[in-house]
Amino acid sequence: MLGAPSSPGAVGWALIALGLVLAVAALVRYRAAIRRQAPSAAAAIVVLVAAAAATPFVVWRIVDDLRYTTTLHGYDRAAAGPVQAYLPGYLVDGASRLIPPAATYATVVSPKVPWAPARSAFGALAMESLFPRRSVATPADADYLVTWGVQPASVAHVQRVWTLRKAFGQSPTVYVARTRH
Amino acid sequence: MAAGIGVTGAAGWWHGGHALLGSLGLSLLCGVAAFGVVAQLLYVLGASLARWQVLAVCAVLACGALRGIGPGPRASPRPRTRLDLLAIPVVLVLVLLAVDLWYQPLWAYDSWTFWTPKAHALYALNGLDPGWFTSAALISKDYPILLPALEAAGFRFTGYETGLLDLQSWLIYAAFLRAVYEIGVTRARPVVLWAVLLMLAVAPSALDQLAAAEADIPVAVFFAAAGVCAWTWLADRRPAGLVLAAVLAAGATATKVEGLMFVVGLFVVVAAVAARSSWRRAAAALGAGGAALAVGILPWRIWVSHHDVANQASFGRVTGASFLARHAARLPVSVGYLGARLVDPRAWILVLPLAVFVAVDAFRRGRRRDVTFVVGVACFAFAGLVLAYWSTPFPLHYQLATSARRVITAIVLFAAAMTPILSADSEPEPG
Repeated sequence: MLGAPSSPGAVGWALIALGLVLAVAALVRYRAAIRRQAPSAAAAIVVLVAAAAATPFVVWRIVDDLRYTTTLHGYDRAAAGPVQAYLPGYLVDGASRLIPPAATYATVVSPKVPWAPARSAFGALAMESLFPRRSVATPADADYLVTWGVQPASVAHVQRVWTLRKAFGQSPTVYVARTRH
Repeated sequence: MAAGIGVTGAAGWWHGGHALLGSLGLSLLCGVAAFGVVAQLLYVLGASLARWQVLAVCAVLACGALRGIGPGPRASPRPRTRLDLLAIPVVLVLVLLAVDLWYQPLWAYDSWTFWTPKAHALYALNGLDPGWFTSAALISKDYPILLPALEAAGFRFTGYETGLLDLQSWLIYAAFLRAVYEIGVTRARPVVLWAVLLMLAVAPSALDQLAAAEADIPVAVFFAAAGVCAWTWLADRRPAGLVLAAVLAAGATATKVEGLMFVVGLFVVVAAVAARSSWRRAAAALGAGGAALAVGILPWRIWVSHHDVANQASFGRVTGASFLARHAARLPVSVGYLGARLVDPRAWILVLPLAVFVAVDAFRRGRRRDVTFVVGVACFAFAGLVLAYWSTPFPLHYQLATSARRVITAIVLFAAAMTPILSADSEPEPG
C-alpha cells in the first residue's frame, strides 16, 4: 500500500498491544472450553483469536493508507510509479513532440545517475511517455536517442541534439537526439 | 461471471439454481481463467479483441451453463452457528479494502513498467503488435499475457482507466475466499474454516499485494483453486473437479512464469496419488495437466520463440549443472529465506502454522492420502521456487528481497484453502 506506514508507529503499536492483551485475556478466560475441543478446532480457535486481535491494526493501516491516497491528484497520482523509483515523472515530457510516432528510439543512462532504481526504470518511463513508439537496444540502430547524463554524440552519430531537461540537483541533463544512419 | 457460470456448468460442477448459488466464487475464478486463456490465444492468432469480441468470447463460454439448467439435487443446508457471524468482519474488511484500492494509484514497479503498459498496448494498438511487444525497453517481454489481456478487456469498456486494476485483483481474491467457503462449508469444521477466512481477509501481505496490481495474487489464486478442485476429483471422483482444475491451471500458467512449475508439480502429485487406485485415473490426471499446459502456455511460448524474445525461465537455466554446483551456497540461503517468509506472522498471520498443525492432526487421524497430496503439492512448489532462486542470473539477495514475499503466496493460499478440508472429521479417502 502506497500510503501505509513502513513501521506501525505509536498508534499502530498501541493497537497491536491492545489486540494482544485482549487475545491473551480471551484465551485464558476460555482455556477450559478450548481444551475440550478436538486438536484442530482448538488450534483454530487460538489462531482465530490471533487474527481477530490483528484486525484493528490492519483496519487502521488501511484507513491510514486511504488518508494519504485520497489526497493524491493530477501529477502526484499519475507519476506515483516513477516517483517510487526516484524518477521525476516529467523527466522525458516533451520528447514525444520531437520523435515522430513511427520512429524508433533507444535510451541510454549514465552510470553517474546516483539512484539505481531510477537508472533501471528510465527506459520504462520513456516507453510510457513515447507510446506507441518502439524502442531498440542498440543506439546506432535507433532513429532517435533519449539519454540521461550521456552526450548523444558519444554513443551514436547524431544529426541534431535537443536538451530536453537541464540538470537539476543530482539529476544530470536529459537529451533527445536524431541519429544519422 | 457469466463466462465462469458457463465453464463450471459445462464441466458439470453444478446442476440447478441452488448448486449454482453455492458455486459463484469458483465460477468467477474459472470464468476469469478461461477468458484470459482464450484471450491470450486469440491475441497470439492476431485478433484485436474489440469490445464485441470480448462479449462474444464471454457469451460462447456462458453457453456451457445450459448443461446445468434444470432442477438439481437440493442439499440440506448446514445449520447456522454463531461462528457464521464472522462473515461480518470478513466482508467489512474486504469492502474497506475495495474503497482503499479504488484510490490506489499505479505505483508498484512491475505494474507500471510492464503489466499495465502491456495491457495499454493490447488495447491501444488493437492486439499483440510484434514491434511494440519486442521493444528493447519493455521489461519481462516473455511473461504470458493473461493479466494484460484481462486489463485490456476492461479498458474496452472503461477507456484507459488504471484505477480499476487493483479492484480487478480484489475481485479475484474475494472470489477465492468465497470459493474456499463454498468448498469448505459442507466439509470443514466451521471454526477452522472461519479462522482461515478471517486470516486471509486481514493478512497484511495479501492487502499489500492487492494494492500493487501485479500478477502474484491472480497466479496464486488460480493455482490454489486448481489444487482444491484437483483434490475434489481425488476425493469425490467427479470429473468436474479435474476439468476445473485444468481450466484454473491453464489460467495459472498463462498468468506468470512460475505458474508453469506450480502446475507441473500439482498434476504430478495428483497423478501419483491417483495411481494408487488406478493407472487410468493417473493417466487422466496427467492428460488434464498436459492439456492445461498446452492451452495455457504453449501458444504464448510459440509466439515468444517466433519473435526471438529471450526466455527468462528457460529450462536450460535450471538444468545448468555446473552453474548450480558453483552456486550451491545459494541453496540453504534460499530455503531459509523462503521458509522464513512463509511463516512470517507480519505477512500471513498464522496461516501456515495452522495448516501444518491441522495436517499433522489429519495424518494422525488416518487421512494420509489427503495429507500426502497437500504436502506433496506444497513441497513441489517450494522446491520449484528454490530452484528458480538457485539458478537466477541476478544477485540472489536482491532477487530474494524484491520477490520472495510475493512468489510464496501461491503456497500460502493453497495451504490455506486445504486447511479447512483437512480439518473435517472424515472424508472419503481417494480411490
